[in-house]
Amino acid sequence: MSEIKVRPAPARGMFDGPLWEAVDKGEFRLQRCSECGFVRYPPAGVCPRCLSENCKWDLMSGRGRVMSWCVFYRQYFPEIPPPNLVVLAELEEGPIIVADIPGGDASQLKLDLPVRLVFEPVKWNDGTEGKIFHWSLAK
Amino acid sequence: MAYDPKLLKTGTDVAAIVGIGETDFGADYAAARARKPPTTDMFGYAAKGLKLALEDAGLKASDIDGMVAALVPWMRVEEVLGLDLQFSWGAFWVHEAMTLAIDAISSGRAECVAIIYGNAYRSSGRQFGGPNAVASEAVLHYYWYRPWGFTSQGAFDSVVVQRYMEKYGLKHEEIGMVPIAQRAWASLNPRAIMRNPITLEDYLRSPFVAAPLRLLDYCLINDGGVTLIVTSLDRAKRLKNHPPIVVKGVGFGEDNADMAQFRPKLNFSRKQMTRAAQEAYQMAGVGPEDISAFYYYDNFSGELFYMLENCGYCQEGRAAEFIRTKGIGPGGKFPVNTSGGMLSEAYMHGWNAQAEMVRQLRGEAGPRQVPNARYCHFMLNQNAKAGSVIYGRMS
Ligand SMILES: [Zn+2]
Repeated sequence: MSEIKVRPAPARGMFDGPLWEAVDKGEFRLQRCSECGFVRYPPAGVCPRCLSENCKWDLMSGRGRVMSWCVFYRQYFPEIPPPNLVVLAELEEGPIIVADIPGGDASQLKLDLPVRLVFEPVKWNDGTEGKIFHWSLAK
Repeated sequence: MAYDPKLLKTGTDVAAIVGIGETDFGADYAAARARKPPTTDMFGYAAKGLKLALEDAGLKASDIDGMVAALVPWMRVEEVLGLDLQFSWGAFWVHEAMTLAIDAISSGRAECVAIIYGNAYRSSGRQFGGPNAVASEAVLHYYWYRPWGFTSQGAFDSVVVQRYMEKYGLKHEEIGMVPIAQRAWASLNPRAIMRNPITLEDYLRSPFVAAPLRLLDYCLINDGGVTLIVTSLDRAKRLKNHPPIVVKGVGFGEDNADMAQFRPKLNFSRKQMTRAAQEAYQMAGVGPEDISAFYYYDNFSGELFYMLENCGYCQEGRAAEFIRTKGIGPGGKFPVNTSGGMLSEAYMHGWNAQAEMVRQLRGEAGPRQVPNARYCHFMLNQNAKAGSVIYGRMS
C-alpha cells in the first residue's frame, strides 16, 4: 500500500464545512442558490447574483473543461515537491475549480480538454486526515 | 453604465506634479541582500522620499496641507513625518491616490498634496507565496488554494499567460522580448537595481518559477519610498525648479464576478482594463496614438501583451507582433517602462513609474529621454481592478 500523502490543510472558514465533509465521502458538492439556482465557489454566506442566504449543497457532476494551467518549478510548500501541474477547469455547473494533477504532464493539456474530479486520501498538515480532490484527464 | 465624458473632464488640468522623490533603491537592496540589519522601516523610507520630493519641488514641509498615503498606514505616517494637514486619506493604487489628490485640490480642501508611498518588504521578509504568504479575508484566493500549492502571485499570472499562449500562439521567445527590453532601459538608469543587459539566451536559461513564467519575468522585491507632490495648476506655474507635469486623465475599471475563481483574469481582464483605459483617454482628451511612452504595473512581464490590446494599442491577439515591429526598448517606436520598471529598476507598486513619467515629460530623463515626450500613459491591472493614469506637459 502506498503511503498517504501530506498536503497543506484547506481553509476552514464559517461556510467551508459541508464542502470538505462531502469530499471526504468522495462527492463534490457546492452551494446552489435556492432562489436563482446560481452555483457559487468558494463557499460564501450569500449568493452574489441575488443576495439570498438560502442554498442547497448540491452534488456536482465533477466534469470540467480545461481553461488553463501552470507548472510549479519553485517549491513553495514543503509538502508539495515540484514540478507540480495545477489546472484551472470550468465545471459543467459553472464554477472554475483549481486543483492539481499529481504527476501530470502539461504537454498533454490543451484548452477545453475534458477533465474530471477524483478523490484521494490525504493527511492534512494540521494533523487531521480526509480526502483531497484533484483533476484527472477524463478517459 | 455609461459615463459622461463632460463630467470626467472636470478633473483634467486641475492638478500638476511639481516634485518627485525616490530613495536609493540600489543601496537599500544591496544592504538587504547582504543581510545587514534594517536601518529604518516603511515610515523611514516614506520620510526619505518626502524630503527628496520637497527639495525637487522647492517647497518646505509646511507647504504640504494635504496627503494621500499609499501602502503606508496614513494615520501613523502623518504623525511620524510631522505633517500638519488639512486633508489626509489612505489609498493603495496609483489611480486611487491620484483621484483623491485631484479632488482635494479641485474642492479647495488642500492646495499642496503629497502622495507618500513607502515599503520595507524585503527587509521585513514579506512572502508572496507558500505557507506564510500574505493572506486575508479580502483576497480569499491568496490562501484558498493552499492544498494544491496554488498561492503565489506569479502563478496567478502564469495561468493567464498560458491561456494567452494557447489562444493566440504566443511563444516563450516572445515573452522574453519584454524583460530584455526593460533591462536595456535599466542599463541606462543609474537608479536601477538590475543593470546588466540580458539576451534571449539568458532569458531562455532563466529558470521557470511557475511555468510559463521564469525568474526574469518576475519583479524585484525591495525596500524604498517614493513621494509625488501634486498641487493646483496656478501654484505649479509659480514654482520654478522644473516644468509642471499635468494630471490629464485617470480611469477606473472593475470586474469582480468570480474573481476568486480567476474568471476575470482568464478573460484577460478585458472588461476592467478597457474601461479604465477609455476613461483615462476620454478625461485626458487623447487616444493611444498620442502617447509618447507607455508604463505598466509589471509585477510579471506577461501581462503587457493583453494589456496593450485592452488599451487599444493593437488588436486582440496581436501584441507580440506589435512589440516586435514597434520596439519597446531604447530607440524603439513604442517605449515601455523606460526606467526598467519593477522587473529591473525597483518594486515600488508602480510609484517609480510615476516618477519616471514625470522625468520624461520634463525632458530630464538623460540617456533614456524619449524625444519630444508629450503624453505618458500608465496602466495597472490587479485581480479585479484596473487603473489608468495619463500625464502631459502643460500646454
Ligand atoms: Zn441567487
